[in-house]
Formats: sequence, structure tokens, C-alpha cells
Amino acid sequence: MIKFLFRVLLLLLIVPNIAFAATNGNIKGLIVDEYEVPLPGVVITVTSDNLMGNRQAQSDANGSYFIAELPPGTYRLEAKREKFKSVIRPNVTVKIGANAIVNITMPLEGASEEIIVEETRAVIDTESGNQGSVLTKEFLERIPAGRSYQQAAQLAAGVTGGANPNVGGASGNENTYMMDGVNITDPVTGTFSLNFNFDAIEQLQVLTSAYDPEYGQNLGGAINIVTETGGNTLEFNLYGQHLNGEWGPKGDAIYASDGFQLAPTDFDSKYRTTQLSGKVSGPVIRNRMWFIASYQYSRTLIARTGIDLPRDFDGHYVLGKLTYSPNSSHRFTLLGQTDPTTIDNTDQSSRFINPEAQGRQAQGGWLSSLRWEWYISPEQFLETQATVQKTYIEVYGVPCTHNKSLGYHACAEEEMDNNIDFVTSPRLGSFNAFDKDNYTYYTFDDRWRINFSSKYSLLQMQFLGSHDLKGGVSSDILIWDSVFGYMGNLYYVDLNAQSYNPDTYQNYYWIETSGPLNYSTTSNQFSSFLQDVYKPITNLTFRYGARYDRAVFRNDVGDPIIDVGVIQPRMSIIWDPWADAQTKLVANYGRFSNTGRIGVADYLSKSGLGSKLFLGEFFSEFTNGASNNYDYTPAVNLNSMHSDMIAPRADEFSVGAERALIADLAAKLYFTGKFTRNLYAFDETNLYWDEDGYNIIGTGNGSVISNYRFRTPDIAQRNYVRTDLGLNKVWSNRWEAQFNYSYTVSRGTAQGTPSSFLSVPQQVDYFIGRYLGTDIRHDITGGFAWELPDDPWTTRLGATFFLESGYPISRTYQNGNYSDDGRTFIYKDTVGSYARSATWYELNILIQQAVPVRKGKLWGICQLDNITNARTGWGAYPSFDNRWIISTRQNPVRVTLGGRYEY
Amino acid sequence: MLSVLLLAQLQGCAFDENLNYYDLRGTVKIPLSATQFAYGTGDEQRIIDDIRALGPLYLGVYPAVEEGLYPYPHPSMGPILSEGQDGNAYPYGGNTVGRFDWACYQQLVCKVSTGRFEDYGDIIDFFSNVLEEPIRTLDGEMVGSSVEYQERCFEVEYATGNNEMLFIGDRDFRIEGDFLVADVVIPHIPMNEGMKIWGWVDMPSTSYEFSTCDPSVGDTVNYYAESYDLGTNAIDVLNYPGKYIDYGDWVVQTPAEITDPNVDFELVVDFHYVEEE
Repeated sequence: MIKFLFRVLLLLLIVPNIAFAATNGNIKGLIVDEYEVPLPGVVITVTSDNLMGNRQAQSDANGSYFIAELPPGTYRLEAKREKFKSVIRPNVTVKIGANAIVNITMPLEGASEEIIVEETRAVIDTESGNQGSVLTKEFLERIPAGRSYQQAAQLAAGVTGGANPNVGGASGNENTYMMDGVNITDPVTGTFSLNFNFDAIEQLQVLTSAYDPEYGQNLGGAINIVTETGGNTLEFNLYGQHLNGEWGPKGDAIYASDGFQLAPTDFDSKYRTTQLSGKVSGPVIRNRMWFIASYQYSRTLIARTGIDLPRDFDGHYVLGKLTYSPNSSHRFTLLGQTDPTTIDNTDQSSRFINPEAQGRQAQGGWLSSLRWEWYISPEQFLETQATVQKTYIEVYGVPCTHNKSLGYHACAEEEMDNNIDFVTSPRLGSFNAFDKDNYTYYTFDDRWRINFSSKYSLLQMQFLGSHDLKGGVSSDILIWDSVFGYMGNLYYVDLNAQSYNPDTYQNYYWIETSGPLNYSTTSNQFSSFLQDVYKPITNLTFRYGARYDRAVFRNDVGDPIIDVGVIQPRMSIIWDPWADAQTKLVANYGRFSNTGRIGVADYLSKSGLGSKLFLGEFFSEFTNGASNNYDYTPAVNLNSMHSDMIAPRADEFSVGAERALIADLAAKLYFTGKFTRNLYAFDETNLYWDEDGYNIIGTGNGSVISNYRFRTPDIAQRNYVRTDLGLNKVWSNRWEAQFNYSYTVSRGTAQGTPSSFLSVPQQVDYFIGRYLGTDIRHDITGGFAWELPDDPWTTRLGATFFLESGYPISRTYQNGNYSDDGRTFIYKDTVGSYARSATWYELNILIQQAVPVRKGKLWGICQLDNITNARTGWGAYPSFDNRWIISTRQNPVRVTLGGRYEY
Repeated sequence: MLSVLLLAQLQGCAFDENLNYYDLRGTVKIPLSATQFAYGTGDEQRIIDDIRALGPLYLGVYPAVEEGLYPYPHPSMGPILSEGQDGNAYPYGGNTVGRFDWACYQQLVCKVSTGRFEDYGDIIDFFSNVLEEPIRTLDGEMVGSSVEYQERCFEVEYATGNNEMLFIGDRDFRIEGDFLVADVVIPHIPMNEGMKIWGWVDMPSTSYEFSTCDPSVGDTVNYYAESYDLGTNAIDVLNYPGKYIDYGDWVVQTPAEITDPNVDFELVVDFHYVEEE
């Protein structure tokens, strides 16, 4: 025992680094004879298309066997022992971070030598308290999930929102995204940071609650993706789809700010989407080296109502992976990814924007990662990974071109193509005036994450029962380099209320800015965890452990803005009362923490953008002949920091039960409470407000400028309680389904609302993302996949269903005077039924038909999104006169046609 | 192991920010006679005695309060920040009892404070029977009933509940003996030895206008043909109280000194500024 622990310690010390996520799963179980007597010495062999070679284990004196750290996928398991018939289980699904529990009864040798058992699948992991779901490749390719893992993730209970979903009541900035063990969370925004071919996903794990200490640095959930590795067979796959907004119904009306229809003749936004992708995988050396390469091209054109120049999104997503296993003990994985993307015509706010004043956004990045998995022995496993990731976002005016057919921003004769004009000041229109001359601002934003991590597993250690120990360390270096400025450090605003004339300045003012603003923000993060799966008896499991996260964030001059560390203990008790792997009762407690994003430190940077406002002739009559120099904001960041800070944290409690009802189908019921405290918050220290926080009544330093103090007070909090009811049918008999119903009450933030920051005047409660609300909602999600084999003329039918009930939206009031730094609105708690988000639902269908062709299959694909054409407004915001403006309305029914060729 | 986990759990539960900021709690008392003011001009001037006419009470926490510069006690001036601008007062914080709120009709811009009227009928009664200036719509129609008033408010404010109409509800002041008394909290005040709470009540002029409210600023209503500012207080009433205190206002004569921020203060607004009469 001491020897083992010493080994653990030694390994942790010699191996640098970490950010963790499980990328493998386990197969384990109990082997008995026909009389229920445990059978020792049975040789278990597993093989899979996803496994190089095979893996073996032998049952112990208690008949137990355990094969750890298997790549996710479908396995064939064979159990052999002399004088007994061999037993084969051909379809064992191994999921990420889960145990496939396969109990086997071996009959004595008889007439035949082996039997193939197609029994019920393992549908409940009776050794894990994790809540969430794992979606396999087989399920993902059969359901209409928009070819987006974020959308697919929303099938899990407790997940809502959009591309950056809200998990467990947290904001979209508080999740962790992992791909093949690599932390791909954007270091600045806390959202996902890269794109890749959806077809490359092997499995998608969504962890919403009660997950192991291995996962961390989030207050929401963990979204963990494992991509394919290739195999011993050369395969390739081509996919294409096209969606055209013209194929759906049109004629959607414009709605008044309070939701009433104003103009029945206006039309929806126009959009077209094309997606082409390819994937090739296979062996470089059979059973030694596999590869997979995938590419996806995405183009989306969206033009808002009445706007001629569509937002033009062009993305190229490349993912490559090489897996090398020189022998059965070692496996190396080299991962590379890049996703260069450009978005043209970024400004869709007005139809009166001249082409030369449009913006272009270039974004993307690259990732390179090397992972080493060392199967030291059947009981010991070491995994080490090093990753470098860069992402970038660049925004600027469209560069000039000599190609006149492109129609905008022609280069001067001596000017080179793609020259960006940083000099010409932009002119912004408002009240139907034109925007012209040049795009307003530019930003060049680079983000780096350099990570080293390692974790070590010591399994099946016997001490008053069995223990599976796992520990790890991780280190991240985050860098954010950014430049921001206005073209020419100047911009004109043309009110031009009466005319569309682009050449006439009317009622104008202008702002001179300092700049550009350069800043570099950095962070060092260290994490470690130690966890144990302890089974004192076969049907009782204690999963417990702790995680420690330490983070130092520095502002642009290197001052440590945040220096926090937090220990997060977690514990689960899982009881299988009948010891048949068909039922489990679970109780969990865990502390979760998000030490912060690098974007947080920027709020405490020393630099700031200075601006000076000048008023044009139009305003002279209002200024009594005084100087038209109206206002001046110093180029100094006035925010301050409170010296005592603590990392934001959430304490989560949950209890639940799962029970296999019929073959391969289980039901579950969970109650979860999550109580988050010490969120990063700002409070104002200079402006003083009336008793309702509406109007400024004085200032501390004589200037009407907000000074914010950065804090982590206990009262910056949210409370979240959820009840889940679910059904899960694993893939068998040609169908799979997931169904979840959740009833949620959350206070402090509303799902779907960013809560990255809190900002308050003294007189009102802390509100989150400018929003303090009580959110009471019902969510129903369902996913269904069905297949009629009829090989080779296979037909697949998939469906997803989402329903969100209405929930109250807090009343908002506009500050009466002198809005400052976004302090325009005050959001009050919900009053009665003042405003509710309407219940919305969406039913999507995916039909795929295989057609046999030479050396492969050709699939015809038709996806129908929102087939009932529901058009509920699902977002609203208050207008300047306190009326509600519906900001988002469900897209109409969409038809996507596509095809896939599989070789 | 468990004990380590429990210790880890306790970390953070007892987090103390060690902020030197306090919410100062106490009561403010105004003599009952402060509810009287002169309304109208010339022969038609009359004395109105009605609690509903009280404007907002402004409270500031200042380093010191002096006498001499103005005919009433006033906060001491701070350094000059801008050329040509007198040094103003730099409070540590402040709050109000009541604030100007738009009460759904243009006529009532800058004329209704929160915490003064119990319901719509109360407002109708005050303007019709006390000021004898009935509320009228832009079309000149007199607003005669609470139902009509409520319908108007719900329509123009897009509201569904009276509790969203913050200009009606419980009154801020209660009567205790010869005083009107209100409980107040002045939030987030940095503790400075010897700091003083001082303030005043903005009383209406003879034309029922309030010096701290400017009807030409603030929010704007845009409701069909209606488009006008809703009025709001000036942003520097605590920095330049001398600009706003005028005839008839009630001012704190003896500021409350804060020596222990955890002890409730009591402030009496007992100086009636009438010298310029």
C-alpha cells in the first residue's frame, strides 16, 4: 500500500502539468457459473474497431474482472475458461468516463463450444453518480441535431440556451469544453473556441451535475468530446447539405415593441447555408498506427430584413489525428486542428450602410496536442498531454481591392490589394442616415492557451474493499493580446434625421478617441485532483475526492488582479440495492468553482480608451455659446479592486434513482440544488443614487463617471433547484431514445442570460448580467433514432423535440438620467405576470435513405427543422420607452437537403 | 480524508470581505408643520397643509457640515477640481426618501414623488381637491376616476399590476407625535471618523414646482402622438445643495455624527429656510 502510494506521489511529481477530462471508459463485471458461484480465472478478451489489438483481463477470486481505459466505442467481449462454454457479448458499448457493467453467466461445457449472448445492454452505471448524458456517434448521426454538438448537448436535462448553452443555471460563460482531453474553452470568454467536422465525433459527453473532481474550472457543466481515431479499415465519407431560407414559408411580420404585429408585408431574414465535408480514416500500419483527417466547409449567408448585403460566413474546419501504439502498453495521439473563418458584412444593423463602410471579421485558430497513454499494468494507467492552442478574432473595415467586380473599396493605383484603411475616419449614420467612408473600429485579438496535464490511475487496489484511485495535475498558461482602436481615432455621428443623403452632414457630432488601445493580459492556472472509487461491498460505491484550482490573473501591467485558490470536495454514494446492475440510488455533494476567465482581469487593466465629444453646429443653440467640447473621458481605467477576494463557488446537492424498466430502457428521477456564491461582481463607488437606484443624486469625486470596485461578495449569488425525470433507451433492436423533463426554479440569474459579471448601484440588489430574476420553467427534450435495416437499402429516421415553458422576465426600468457605462437600465425583480417568455417548442425530423452504390453507400438526407412552423418570440428586451421588443423569434420551418457517400 | 474534505468545505463558508463599508441605518424626523407650504400668488395665495406635497428628502454623508456660506447649515466645500468652478461638496454616499416618478400624465411630470400617495384616487384627490388643479389628459379631458387612471398607466407603461406603479403604495412617513418619521438606510458608506449625515427636503414652490427636478431631462415617453421628457432630479444635488435649496425647504440643522456605524442614527430636519421671504 505504502509502496503504491509512493509511486503515485512520485509520478505526480515527475510529470509536469494538467486540465482533465476522461477520454476513455471501462468494462467490468462479475462472472458466475450456472449456480451463481463466482468464477475466477476466466480470461476476458475485448476487441473493437476503435481498439488497436485487443485487451485482456482475468477474473479474480471473486469472479470480478475489470478492463480499464478503453477508447469509447462498441466492443466484442469474449469470456473463456476451460470446461466452460465460451461466452461472447458482441455489442458492448463503452462510453466516455463510464463503466459498461457486463455480468456473465458461464454454462458448463456442452454440445457447443461457445454461445453468443445478445442480452440486455448495460443501461445503468451503478458505480457512478454523474448526471448528464453520453451521446454516441450512432445516435448523433441519426438525430437532427443541426450538426452541432452544442445543440445535441441540449438533449441532456439541465441544459438550455444556444450555441453556448447554460448548464445547471450557470451562464454560457461558465462551462468547460474538452475535446480529446484538451481544454478548448476560450480563455477570454469561457465559451467554446473551435469548430470541426461534426462527423468526426465519436462520442459526446455532457456532464451537468455531480461529476468527479477530474472535471473542473466551471460553475456550469462540462462538455466533453472524443473524436474518432480511425481503424484498420480505410474509410471515407463525403457529406453535403444545403439549406435555403426560400424553401420555407415567408411573410413573417414585423412586430411592434410590445409584440403586436405591425406590418404583415415584411419578410423574414434571408439566409442560405451550405455545408460540405469529408472525412478519411484508416490504417497507416495495421494495429499500430491509425489516422483520421476531416474537413468541413461552412458557408452561411444571412441578411436581415430589408438589408441588401448579407452577413457572409465562410469557415474551413480541419481536424487531423494520428494515433500510434508501438505496443500494447503505449499509445500516442497527435491532434491538430485549425478553423480559419471570415465573416463579411458584419454590420446588419441598418440598410443604409455603404459597402465600403462594412466590416470584416476573421477568426479561428489552431490547436496542436500530443498525448501519451501508458498502460503500465492492468491496474495502472498514466496519461500525459501537452497542448498549444491559439485563437484569434480580427475585426476591421473591408480591405481595398483592385477587383472592381467586388464592388467596394477600390484600391488606389499605388495601393496594394487587401490594404486595410486605418486612417479614414468613419461616419456613422443614425435615424436613417447613411454609414459611409470606413468601418468604425478595428481589433486584433490573439488568445493562447498552453497546457500540460497528467493523470495517473491506480485501479482495483484492495484495502477494506476495492479502490480505484486517480489523481492528476494540470497547468495552464493563458495569454490575451489585443489591440483596439477607431479608424483615424475619430468618428462622426450623423443624426441626419430628415434625409437619406449620404453626402450631407446634418445634426452631427464627432468623437475623438485616444488609441489604439494595446493590452496584454495573462494568467497562470494550476489544478490538481485526487479521487477514489471505493467499493466496500459489491453493490455499494463511494466516489469521493477533491480538486484544487489555483489561478492568478494579471492585468496589462502585470499586476495580479485575481489570485485565488479553492478546494472542491466532492462525494457520491451509489447503492445498487439488489446488486443486479438494474437499479441505483444516488446521493451527491460537490463543490464547484470557476476561478475566472482571463477577460476578467482586463476590467482591471490600467489602460483605457479616452474619448472627447465635440458637438456640431446643430447643437450650438443648446450650448449657450459655451465650448462645444462637451465631455472628456480620461484614458485611464478607473476600476478598483477589493483586496479580499475569493473564487466563485457553488455547492451542489443531489439525490436520485435510476431503474431499468424493460430491456435496455431505464427511468431516472433526480433532485438537484445548486447554490452559487461569491460571483465576481462590481459595485459602484462614485455615483450615488436615489432610493430605487433610478437617478444619480451626487458623486463622490465631482465627476459623473462610474468607478467600479471589483469584489466577490457573498450576496452576489444564485440559487438553483431542479427536478429531472428521464427515460433512456440505449441502442438495441434498431432504436434508441432519450427523453428528459426538468422543472427548474432559479433565482439570481435566468437561464439564457449571461452572468459573467454583476454590476450594481448601491441601492439595488446584485443583478446578474444586468438581470436579477426568478426563473421558473419546464423543459422537455427528446431524441429518437430508428433504423429499418433492410440492408443495403437502410432507412433511418431521427427526431428531436424541445419545449421550454414560459418563464417570467423581470421588469426593467430605465435610469432617469445620465446613463453611464451601460448603467442605462435597472432591472427589478419580476412583478406578477408582467412579462413572460412564451412557451415555445420545436420538432425536427431527419430522414436518411441508403442507396447501394459501387464500393459503398450513398445516403440521401432530408432534414426538416421546426416542422410545425412555430414562430414564438423567445427573447425580448425593453425599448427606450419601456415597451418590449421581441428580439428573437423562432426560425420558420427549414428544409435541408443533403447527401453522404460512405466507402 | 473525510476531515480534510470537511475542512475544505468550511473554507469559504466563513468568508469575510473585510470591507470598511457600512449600511448606515436610522430614522429621519420632520416636524409636522413641514407639511405646510404657500401655494399660488397674490391674493390667491393660500397655505396648503398636506403630507402628500413633500418632495424628496435628500440625505448625504459628508466629512463635515458648516455654517456661514449659506443661510442654512451646509456641507463643507472640497477642493476645486475644475477651473472656474467652486469647490463642491464631496459626499461619501447618500440616499433619498422618495424620488420623482412619472405618474402617467404629462401634467404630473416633476410633480409626484414616490412614497407620498397611496393609490390613484389619492393622486386625483390631491390635485383636484387640494391644489384644485385637476389632472387632465393631453386632450384636456379631466381624469376623474381611479379606474381610468389605472387603465392609462397600464397602457402607457405596459404593466399589469399596481405594484409596478411605484408612485403609489405605502407612504414613506408615519406620524409620531409632532414629527413625520421615516426609516432610512444609506448604503455602502466608507467609515470615516466624524462623518456627518445631513440633508434637506425639497418643498414645492408657490407654483408647485420643485427645484431639484428638471422636466426637460430624463426618460422620454413615446406613446403614439405623445413624446416628451419625464423629468428627473439633477445629478448633483448632493454635490451642490446650495444650487437647489430654496425658499420653503426644510434643512437639517444639527447633522448626525457617525462614530459607530452599527448604531442607528436619528436625524431631525428642523430648519425651515424662509430667510429670503
